[in-house]
Amino acid sequence: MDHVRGSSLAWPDSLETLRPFIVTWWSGRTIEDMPADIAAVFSASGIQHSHINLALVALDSKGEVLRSTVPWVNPPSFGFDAEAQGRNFNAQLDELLSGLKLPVANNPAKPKLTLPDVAGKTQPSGVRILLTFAENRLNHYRTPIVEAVALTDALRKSLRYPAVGGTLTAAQLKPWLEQIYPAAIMDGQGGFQKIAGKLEFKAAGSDSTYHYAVAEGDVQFVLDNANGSSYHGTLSIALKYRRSDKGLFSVRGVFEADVPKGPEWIHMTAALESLPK
Amino acid sequence: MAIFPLALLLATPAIEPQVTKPNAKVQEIEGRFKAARPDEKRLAFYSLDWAMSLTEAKARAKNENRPILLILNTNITAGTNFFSGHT
Repeated sequence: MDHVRGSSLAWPDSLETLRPFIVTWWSGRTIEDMPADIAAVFSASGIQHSHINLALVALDSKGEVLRSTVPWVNPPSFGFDAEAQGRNFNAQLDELLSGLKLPVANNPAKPKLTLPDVAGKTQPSGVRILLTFAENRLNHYRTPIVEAVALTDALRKSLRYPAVGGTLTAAQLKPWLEQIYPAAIMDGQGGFQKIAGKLEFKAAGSDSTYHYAVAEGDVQFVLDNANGSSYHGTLSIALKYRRSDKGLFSVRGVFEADVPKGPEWIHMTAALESLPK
Repeated sequence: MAIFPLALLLATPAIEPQVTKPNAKVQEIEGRFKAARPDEKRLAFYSLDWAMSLTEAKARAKNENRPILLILNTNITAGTNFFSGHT
């Protein structure tokens, strides 16, 4: 699916084709996992596939199914050329929507980013992790993976201002670290055999408003796929604390590693930012 | 021996904790974070008008008189989330 997100839906013409729509999704292991409302749309769509790499269903403003398709997305047939794949996907979108009388917005809102988020307005309520990947031979991962993780009481406790310095373990940071992996691990279950490492955690100065701390260290990952794909890199985190009560205020972090994908190693970068600021 | 005037000693305010600057490591990490965070162009996929559920999409579609595109995908082996990208 990383090609669908990166080379098809994110193709500029496809984005413009879909601007009139409110876009939503359902993902699961099998169609049997569909909740009732999704299953009802799926049934009405007439799609017969029991396994769906990708299906698109257009509905009207009353939620009635207008048309559906199972697009043909096959990167090898385009020589993994993102542009050729993007043009083909947009042509399939045009075919899906051809002849449909869709409402026309008089004053369409300017597009804005909707990124995965956490509930709550407390600063900080969570951390967003944005994974980007370097250019690679088969054009994998052209669209960033973005996850948001709520800040648990345990994480908050682990990240208390380190007046005398100390250590953070990978286990303490697991809610963040378990989001730092590439997509499309074909034989994986989305988990890890191991995440291990230690970060040195120490105070790092102050100004009139905040105290600062940094945590840095090497983290090793072993995925739960058949080959036990592994990678490691340095995680660096800068933390800001309110000077008044030394309460955690914000987090900024970076992790970089080369991750295996078939015969290639692809450079992955994770940017970590606290939410809402 | 110099005699320190008691009145002056009593009038001296308590010493405030030293205000320094965040150290160079903080600035280095924040610089690397800024370089690592993808820009709006790279995040264009997220510029579609996403609703977090079909229920939300239907409510908005009714209010805004707009169509919905529902994307479906299954993946038997891995945990999957088409929106976040861990598919």
